Amino acid sequence: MEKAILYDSSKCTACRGCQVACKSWNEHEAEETTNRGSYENPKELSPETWVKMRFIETERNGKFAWLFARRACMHCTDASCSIVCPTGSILKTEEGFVHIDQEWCIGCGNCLYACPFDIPHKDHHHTGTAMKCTGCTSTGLNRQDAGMAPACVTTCPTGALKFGNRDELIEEANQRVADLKAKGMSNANLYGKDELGGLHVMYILDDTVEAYGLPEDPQVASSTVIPKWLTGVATAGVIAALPLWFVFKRKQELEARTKGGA
Amino acid sequence: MSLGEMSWNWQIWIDLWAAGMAGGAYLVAFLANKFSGGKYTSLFRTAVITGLPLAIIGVLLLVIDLGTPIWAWHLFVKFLPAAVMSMGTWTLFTWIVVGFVMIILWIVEWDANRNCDKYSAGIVNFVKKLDGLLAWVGFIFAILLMTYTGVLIATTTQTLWADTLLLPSVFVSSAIATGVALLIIMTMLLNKINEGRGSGWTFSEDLIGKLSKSLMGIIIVEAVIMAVYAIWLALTGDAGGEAINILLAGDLAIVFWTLVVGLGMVIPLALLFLTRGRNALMVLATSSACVILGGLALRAVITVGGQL
Repeated sequence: MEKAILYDSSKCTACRGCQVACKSWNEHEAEETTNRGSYENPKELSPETWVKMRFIETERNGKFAWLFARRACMHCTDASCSIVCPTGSILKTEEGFVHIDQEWCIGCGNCLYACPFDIPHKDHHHTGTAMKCTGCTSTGLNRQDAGMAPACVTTCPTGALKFGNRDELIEEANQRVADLKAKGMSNANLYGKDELGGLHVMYILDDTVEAYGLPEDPQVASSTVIPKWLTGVATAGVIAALPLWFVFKRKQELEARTKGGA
Repeated sequence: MSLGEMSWNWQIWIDLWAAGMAGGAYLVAFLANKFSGGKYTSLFRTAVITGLPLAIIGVLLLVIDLGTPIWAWHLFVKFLPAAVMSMGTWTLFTWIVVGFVMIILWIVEWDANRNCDKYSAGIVNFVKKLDGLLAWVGFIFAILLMTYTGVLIATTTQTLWADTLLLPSVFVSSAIATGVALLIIMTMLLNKINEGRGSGWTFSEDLIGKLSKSLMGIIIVEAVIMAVYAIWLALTGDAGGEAINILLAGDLAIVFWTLVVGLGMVIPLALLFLTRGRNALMVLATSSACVILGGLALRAVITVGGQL
């Protein structure tokens, strides 16, 4: 049965309890950071930070407003990271959560550049492997197998994070979006139901996808891989075969014909 | 993002450049030999012997660049055709093995040719047939090798690399240009080394002239492909415009215009054009070296530009 995490931005207070719970459960160290003029901290995801809250500064009705957004692996059905992984070390659980087998990852970095959400990060200092949220399915720390929700969900004090059957969460999310629209939030929408074959982390957004800085139409990195192979091969044919044929064969034939004619 | 923070660094640029050049040299020498009715076997063998170390250096750099180099063997446990790096690893491996087997066959052939008996003639005959078959296999894998260098970074979500279909074409055209340039330098070098020795490893001025003409044509095609790639990317939208601007007017513009365009295309093209029809070997060697360095600069700006 497919499971999912549902994040409701309209209920989130950006307390960052989820960030701390994630670090605590996965035994990650705190990161030393500097003030960058934002409550958002640390600056980016890293091998030590698998979940972080974004503080997006915006204007609503001429007034300053925050938009809070969770930033972590979206656990795509069509996961680019898994497709491009050359060792097959990025795996999916039956429930749909994507995790990196740390025993098989070689740290090539391909998944870092294939992810449409820029989620995996390479641990340059310790393991040398790629790291990201596992949905608490890491070997030895697997909460889902133990019948528990991921640590971030369990710790959320406002109910902004929920974990459960994906289909049921979609129904609940659609109802919530309808309620938000009824309250005047006309841009409210559900993100992740269909994107990339369906995400296993879905967002209820109270504003547009663009306002939350999410890709509106994320693409699987390998969606155009066959045409790209073909253009490369065709180029080899056109750029090499034709000029070389002309220089090495055609000219030889012409020279032979000229000599024969003379 | 600073250079130190990037996951794909100089090892990757050099791998993409070296593997591409090895494939390009093989392709050009193979086709030149085929189109000339087997007249340039020495050129083909030079391409294989020169290309193999380049490909091996590329593989070693790829391994060094891994986060866990001692686990590089994990790449050879599974063949995953949808994963371009897996496809590339197996392509490189196959191409290197084919090249090695061909070199062994040439040594066997050379040895058998020294003994002019009936048994040796049979060996030579068998070796030639097998060599001919392997040359075709190597040809197919050379094309895949050149193409893989572009498809690898194009199968991502980085705008500069992925938002057009033409990055593999840019890399393939550069691989062929650098491959021809490498062959020109190698033929001139071998001529110099074997001057007056009566060795079979010398090359006619006619061949070097033909390679020089081919290089001019290929540089022009490469420039056209790059221009179309840049225009296409700019037309994909704001993100594409910003991405190509990094090369054309942004952080990497100086490297792009001076090394990729100036050194790698304009200078060699101008030199080759001005000395066409003349026996200007130093100019030809200089032009070829410029093309090779320009090819390296191209891999560098594209690889870095996509990570900024």
